[in-house]
Amino acid sequence: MIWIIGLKTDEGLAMYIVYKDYEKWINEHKNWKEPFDNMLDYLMRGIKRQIDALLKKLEENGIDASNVHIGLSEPTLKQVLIDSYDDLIRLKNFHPIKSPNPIKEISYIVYWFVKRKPIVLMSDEILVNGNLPDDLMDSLAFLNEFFAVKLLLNAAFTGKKQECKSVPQELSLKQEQTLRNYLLYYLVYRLSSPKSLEAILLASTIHPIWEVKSMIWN
Amino acid sequence: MKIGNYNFEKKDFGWLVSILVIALCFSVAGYFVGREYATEVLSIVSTAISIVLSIVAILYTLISGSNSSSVNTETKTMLENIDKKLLDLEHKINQRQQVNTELEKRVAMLEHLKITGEDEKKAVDDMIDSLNKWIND
Repeated sequence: MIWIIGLKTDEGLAMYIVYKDYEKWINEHKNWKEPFDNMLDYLMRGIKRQIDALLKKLEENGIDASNVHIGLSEPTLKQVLIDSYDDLIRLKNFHPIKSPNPIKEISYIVYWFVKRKPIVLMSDEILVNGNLPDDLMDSLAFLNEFFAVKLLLNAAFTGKKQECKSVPQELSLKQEQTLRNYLLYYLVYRLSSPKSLEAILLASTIHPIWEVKSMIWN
Repeated sequence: MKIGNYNFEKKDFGWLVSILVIALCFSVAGYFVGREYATEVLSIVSTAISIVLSIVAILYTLISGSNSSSVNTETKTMLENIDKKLLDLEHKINQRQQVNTELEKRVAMLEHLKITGEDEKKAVDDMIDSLNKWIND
């Protein structure tokens, strides 16, 4: 099933908002089923772990997490991947490449993830009445962006910190936190295209404070 | 062959027939000695024998020709049958080979799917483990 909402401004100019059915999309793009399903599995499991970690952190801060409900819309998540892979397939057909690199792939996924927002905070009164610490406030108010930052970092880095003699540890920690904060801020307020995310992420792998995944530069 | 006390062999028969033929020739020659119509009789007899022999020769040729034609037809039919059976056999072998090739392809695909599936699952598990570090950091 495909829903098409036509926003016709006049006869010559029409815009369409398209919702595609997962099964139909997979039938049309059989070669992409495997990466699609793997990515869906990865995102579903990752989001569930993120939600569990957040609820646990709330409990640690003395807040009753049983009243906090966070929802995940699987159909919306599928739409995220359909939009992302549609873009990536267009790119792949245009450029002579076998498959998109992991940074490009995650940049497009994160772009659509932030647009579609599949994670929803159902009990948002906690943001007003919860007296939350700043870091928890950010992570609950911008659930999707907060998780998307981790997706971006996980695509490029192993998570293992590197020793850099020219950068003192204090500065290294500050740099690390700044990058996380900047990415979150960028996703919330500045995001305009997946290309910009790709550029930021790729640039951050040069002389990094984290170990870069082997597939990035090999 | 034993006749009384004598054991007749092939060569004995040969000699006997030769002596009888010679005796017959002498008897006939003796019969015609001094007779005026002897040459006419001999001419008629030899002509009659020639005609009979020629008729026998013609009949023999016709019969052997007919037999040969029949053998040829049977041989041709048999060869056609053999050819047809060979074609059938070739067709069946081809079909079998196609089935075998298809089976080999399917088995290879299944093996590939199995290996790829396991690899992909491991890759997703590794990504999740890695993501955990960022979630819990």
